[in-house]
Amino acid sequence: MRVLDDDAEREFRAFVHASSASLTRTAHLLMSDAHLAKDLLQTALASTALHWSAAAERPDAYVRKTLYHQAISWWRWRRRRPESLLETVPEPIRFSDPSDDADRRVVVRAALAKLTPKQRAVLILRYFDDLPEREVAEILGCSVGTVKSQTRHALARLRVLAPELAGLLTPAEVES
Amino acid sequence: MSEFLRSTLHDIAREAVPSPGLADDVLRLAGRRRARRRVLVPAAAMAAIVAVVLAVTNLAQAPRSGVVPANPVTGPGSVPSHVSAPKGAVRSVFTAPIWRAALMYHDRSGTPILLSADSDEVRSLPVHSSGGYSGKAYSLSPDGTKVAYGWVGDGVAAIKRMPSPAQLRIVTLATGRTETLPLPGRGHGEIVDHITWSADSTRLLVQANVVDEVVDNGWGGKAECFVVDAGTGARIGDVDFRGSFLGGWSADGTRLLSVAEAQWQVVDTAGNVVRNIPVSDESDTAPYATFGGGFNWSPDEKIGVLAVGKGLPGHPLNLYDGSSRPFLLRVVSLESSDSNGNAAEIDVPLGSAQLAYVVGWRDSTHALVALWPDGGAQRVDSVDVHSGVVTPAVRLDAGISTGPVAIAADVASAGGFR
Repeated sequence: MRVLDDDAEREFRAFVHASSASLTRTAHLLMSDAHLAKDLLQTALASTALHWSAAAERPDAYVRKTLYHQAISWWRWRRRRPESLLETVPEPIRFSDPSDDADRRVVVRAALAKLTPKQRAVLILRYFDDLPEREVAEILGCSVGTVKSQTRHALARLRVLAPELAGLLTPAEVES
Repeated sequence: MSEFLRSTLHDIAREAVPSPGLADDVLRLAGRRRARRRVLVPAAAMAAIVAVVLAVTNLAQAPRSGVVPANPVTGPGSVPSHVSAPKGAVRSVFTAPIWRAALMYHDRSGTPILLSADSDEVRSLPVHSSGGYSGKAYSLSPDGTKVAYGWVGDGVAAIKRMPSPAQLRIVTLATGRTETLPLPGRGHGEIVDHITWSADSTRLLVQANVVDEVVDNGWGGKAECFVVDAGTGARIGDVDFRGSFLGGWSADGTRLLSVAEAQWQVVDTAGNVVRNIPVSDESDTAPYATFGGGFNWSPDEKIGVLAVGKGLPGHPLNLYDGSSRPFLLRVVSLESSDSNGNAAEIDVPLGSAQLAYVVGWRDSTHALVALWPDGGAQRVDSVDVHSGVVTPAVRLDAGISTGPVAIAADVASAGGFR
């Protein structure tokens, strides 16, 4: 079944062609699994195609919002319902040389995977997409204050999960 | 701002390579979804109109706040007007002729109790787990003689830190005799999520979560499903789970209804698929069965119902932020389908609720749904699964309006507790 007329399909294909690299990277950061990242992006883009008349004005914003919400939804589904806060801190992730790029990527990636989806989304929106807090709040459907607190908690959690990063994520940055 | 974090995220992101043919794949996926939705939209629109009319009608007929009916008594098979109880949540609703009651658990002490549907009588059951497990999976047998529940020796909080002894327990209420089935799990232990009784009360379908990973605010794990003999507590068969959520038994006890991501299935007790039932949209099906715990098929096996959260368009209910979201009851005909092979469906709006749970049936045409609507008070609605008409089956007890109020509906127990 066709979803879009000829003109709209041309626009949609042009958008996908222009944005696929950037969107693929965002999905890759949101999901720790490459296959899930691919599924996530396809789901978000399919939703965008189905609502193209509304999304066409700002398709990038639309698909990114869908990506983040869908990622959070999937995480909740997989994890089941959380019962309470953990009383003990999980074993920190170790790496040998924080100055080595490969080690650094491995550690940050592992630490990101252990954040809550919202904390991960906030960090990606702030530090990868470089969006201001107001736009992050709009995408995640929360207040600016929540974005600030989630960012602070996420950075603090990164320092706990990967103590070697503590020197790179300074207290001032964590508190900011 | 952290330049370190920014540069590392960009480094990680560069590992991802866009898929060739992404636009083609996406347009095919969107086309399949649109084809499914074409069936749903007219029926949903009609159901919404009917629900709005009924909501207005019910609002006009609703009793004023503070007015409590005096000791209402209704006959077997009908719905009582109200019952009040301590804070808790209804878990099981059955119809039986002896002592009509609902099983609930008291969410503070963990003690499961029975609520009379005919009076305000409350009976505590002798099955309290001292380990602190709040009894999420307590389930009363349809004949009212047994209660099954998951037990975790060191409590649910402890299961995140260490392997914890876990059991399935089946208590005969008249004698107090308890059959136990150890649940060894892996890693951190095992938690019972759902228990569903066969219609003849002889077997249990148990859905448990084998905890193999601890995360920052909960745990992860793989679900397993198995059948247990209620008389001996023996595990008599495993059900191939396939990532689905298993619901009710068929009346003859030979099949189970399963909700997967994009379809419903009828499976036998070994997990073999007997029949696939495609439904309209995978984003509206499986995940919510675990949150709401509510999907089931009718006693005549012609209709399946599932409580579905609608937090945002196309997204699930957010149960964790305390906000109220509209809920739907998805009704799927297991017999009729459209020209594309999709099952005929309607969505019945249940209004703004924090949680909806399909607790039972009055008969094959009326499902009973527990709702936690705005304000936190609980109620049970009766839903005509053919017309979508929602009738408040049990009113709120105005005397307990500040917290979750357990409402008993059309249910029973054999009594004789010790």
